[in-house]
Amino acid sequence: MVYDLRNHQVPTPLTVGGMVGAGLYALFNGLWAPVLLMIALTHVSDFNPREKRLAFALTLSVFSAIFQPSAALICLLILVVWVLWEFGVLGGADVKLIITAALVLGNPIFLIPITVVGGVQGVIASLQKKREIPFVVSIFCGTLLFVLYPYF
Amino acid sequence: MRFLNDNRGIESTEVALIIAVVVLVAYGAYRLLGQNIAAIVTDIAGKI
Repeated sequence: MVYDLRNHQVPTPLTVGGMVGAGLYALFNGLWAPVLLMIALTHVSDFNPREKRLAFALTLSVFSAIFQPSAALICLLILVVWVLWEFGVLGGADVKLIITAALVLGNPIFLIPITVVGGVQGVIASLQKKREIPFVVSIFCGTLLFVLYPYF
Repeated sequence: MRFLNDNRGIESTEVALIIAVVVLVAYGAYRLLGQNIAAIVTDIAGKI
């Protein structure tokens, strides 16, 4: 979060390391389809042209959801954030952190507090006439809200 | 590895606002209509 606030970038080893750790944790918890989908989409991102990338991503996501229906929502979440990255809406670090949180928490509902915090951040940035926001702040605060909410 | 090497942590302000509004509206609709929709789907499934 500090890196993102300072220069709108997060060092790759931090995000990739988190994603690998989350992948191992998810495998341990039986969420194998989203982990395989995550690995596959990492490779699909190098395909050309874009239509081929999107077709492969959609097909792989559908197969992941079919093979492990209990993880279908997480597969859908991974596909959606990957497509948002593909179209340049989200930064790569944001997407990797969201996938990491999804694999650790195993519940896509955590996206709701993230988007709400993102909206609040967006309103503040609009008032300050800024065009872009460091979204890692929203991901961190939203995930923290989701994790701590049951304790209140 | 284009995806792994992308370390940008930014999002445009407009998109953040749009996504927040869409998610809140969808969640509100689900809370309001979720049970009715489930009943309709169950009814249709029963008829099939």
